[in-house]
Amino acid sequence: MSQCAVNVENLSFAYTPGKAVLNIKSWRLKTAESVFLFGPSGCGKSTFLNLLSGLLPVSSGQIHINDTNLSALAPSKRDAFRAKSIGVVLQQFNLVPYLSVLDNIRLASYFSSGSKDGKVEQRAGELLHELNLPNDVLFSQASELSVGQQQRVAIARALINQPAVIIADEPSSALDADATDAFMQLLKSAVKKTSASLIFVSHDQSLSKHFDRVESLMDINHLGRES
Amino acid sequence: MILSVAKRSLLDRKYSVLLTFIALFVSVCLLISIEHVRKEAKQSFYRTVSGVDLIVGARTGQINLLLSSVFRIGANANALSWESYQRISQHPLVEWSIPLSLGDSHKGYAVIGTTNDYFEHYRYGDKRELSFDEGNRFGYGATNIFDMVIGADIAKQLNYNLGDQVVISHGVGEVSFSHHGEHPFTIVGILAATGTPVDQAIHIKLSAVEAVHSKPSHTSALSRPSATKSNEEHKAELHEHEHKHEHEQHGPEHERHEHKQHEHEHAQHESHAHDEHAHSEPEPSQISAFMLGLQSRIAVLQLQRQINQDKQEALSAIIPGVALAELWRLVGAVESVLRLISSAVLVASLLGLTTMLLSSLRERKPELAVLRVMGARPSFIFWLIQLEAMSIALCASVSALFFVFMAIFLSSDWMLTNYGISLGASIFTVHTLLVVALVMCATFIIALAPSISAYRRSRLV
Repeated sequence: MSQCAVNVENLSFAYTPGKAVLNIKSWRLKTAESVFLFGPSGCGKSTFLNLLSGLLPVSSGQIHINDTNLSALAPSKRDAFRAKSIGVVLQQFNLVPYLSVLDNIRLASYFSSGSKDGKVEQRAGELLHELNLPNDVLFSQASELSVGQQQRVAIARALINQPAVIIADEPSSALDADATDAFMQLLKSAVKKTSASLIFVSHDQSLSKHFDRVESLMDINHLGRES
Repeated sequence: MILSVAKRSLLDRKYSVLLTFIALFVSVCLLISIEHVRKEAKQSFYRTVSGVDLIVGARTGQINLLLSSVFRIGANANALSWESYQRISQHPLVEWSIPLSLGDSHKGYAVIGTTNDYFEHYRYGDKRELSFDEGNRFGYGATNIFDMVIGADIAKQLNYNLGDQVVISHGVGEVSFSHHGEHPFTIVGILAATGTPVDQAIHIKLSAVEAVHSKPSHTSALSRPSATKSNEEHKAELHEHEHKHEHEQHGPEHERHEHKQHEHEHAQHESHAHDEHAHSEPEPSQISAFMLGLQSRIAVLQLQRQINQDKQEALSAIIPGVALAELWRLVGAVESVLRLISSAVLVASLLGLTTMLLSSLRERKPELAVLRVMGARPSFIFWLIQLEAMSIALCASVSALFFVFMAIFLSSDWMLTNYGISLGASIFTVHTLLVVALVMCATFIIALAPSISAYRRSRLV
């Protein structure tokens, strides 16, 4: 259990009672392991990710992340847990547009620790350097960056609190082929350094080569297969 | 942290925020200045008379009596007998009394016949005495019978100085066909400004009122030296003329109504006249009203009841504070309407604020989702929206306060010289702070709609 970053058991979820959209008997992810999840739209990908990140409450069953039973936490505790232990990178709109890059990263740090961390600026600078971003990006407004830059800043923002799990939901779909490749390399190396587990969701199966495991959500979600 | 996020968020949408700010600013300005003027008006209204315990006149409504005796609006047609005045002013509970005789005017300004007791005992505002800018009270003795003391506004408006000769007219109103031309008055005193109706009043001796209404042949008799100091000389024969005069003034319909009373007065006056003859101390036959100061305020209600139930003459005694409060209820309705309108303007601009916030929620949906993904609680989203609304309202209120303060501060001299309205610049009172607090509360309540909407949406991703 201890080397298990994510442990899902008998998980089911329904938006409206009696109409479950997700049912997972058992699913595990080891520490520092990366998994590529794919599946057609409507198979419950987003629901699964929202459950893992604690944005949605579990209907029944359990989700353990690093020995914390997410399904047993109160909503506000789940929010705090997400801030601390889960980094999320979305398809786009990963940053608060009117804040500077640094303020975006600071905000993520603030939500995790509840206070202002003086070292954030230094660590953010290091992360941006790793992600091949010039240092002055730190002080530009998020909305002024290119999409590629925004997505890389999103990685930095997701990693700033050294989370146990990184959840990436189609993070490269807005990028062209070359940028996607560079993005994948940077993501992999940055995540590797923090030894976080990575859950990567995409329908672009060409990306699956970058990951330890490749799974179809249709195989995991019993209800998804039926429908 | 939430503060800087809210600040950056507002700056990001600065044009719509600025417009909302201006709308709120204007409405808070309106609200504050209307409240301020209302308060100042009420204050100066209640300042008009103080320290007077009772005002007594012939039987009438309390507002009528207050209007005629204090504000000099609409003369009280009924008069009360000098005898009643004498009787009541000598009551053991009475400390001082001021007789008032109204009904004449000069260029539209009310002329009040009274005695030097007026300058001695009349109080306004915070029990302040009347003071003289120039000159002094009425002189004593018959040679000074046509002395006149004018209010500050009159001196300024009509450009009168000490020693000027003034002719008064019969009846109120700017245009009068009956001038008392044969009796010019001499200005002996100019009162300092009080911000009350006193500023617009012309004061002459009570005995002079009688004199100007007499036939020219009688006037010469008045130059006879007076034996007493405070009471002016007066011919008892004048009574007859006075009554005739009163009838003229009232017109036929009044005459019918008051016929009975006049008969009653006649009876009294006859005995009164006999009295005067006996003591050879001529006095006016009747006055319009008088003010009383009592030995103790506890006696006010008791004496008021006694006067109201007076068996010899139908009299009304009013307590100025009570009558002022009743009159203010009538006048104050206008103020309430203004207040209502400015509140409506405020509500409209607050609704504008809500609309702005609500419509921005759609475009902010991804941004709020990011905040949630980063680990923000739904309450953070709620307070972010609230904070944005509150900061706009607070900025608008504070700048409105400052603006109104500066406007009043800079225009107060101009207002005083041009309109005779004295506005205190002290708008930072508990009252205005209450207005600001009210605006903030209203903002909070009205911003609940977008805040809760954002909260709900962010809770369900």
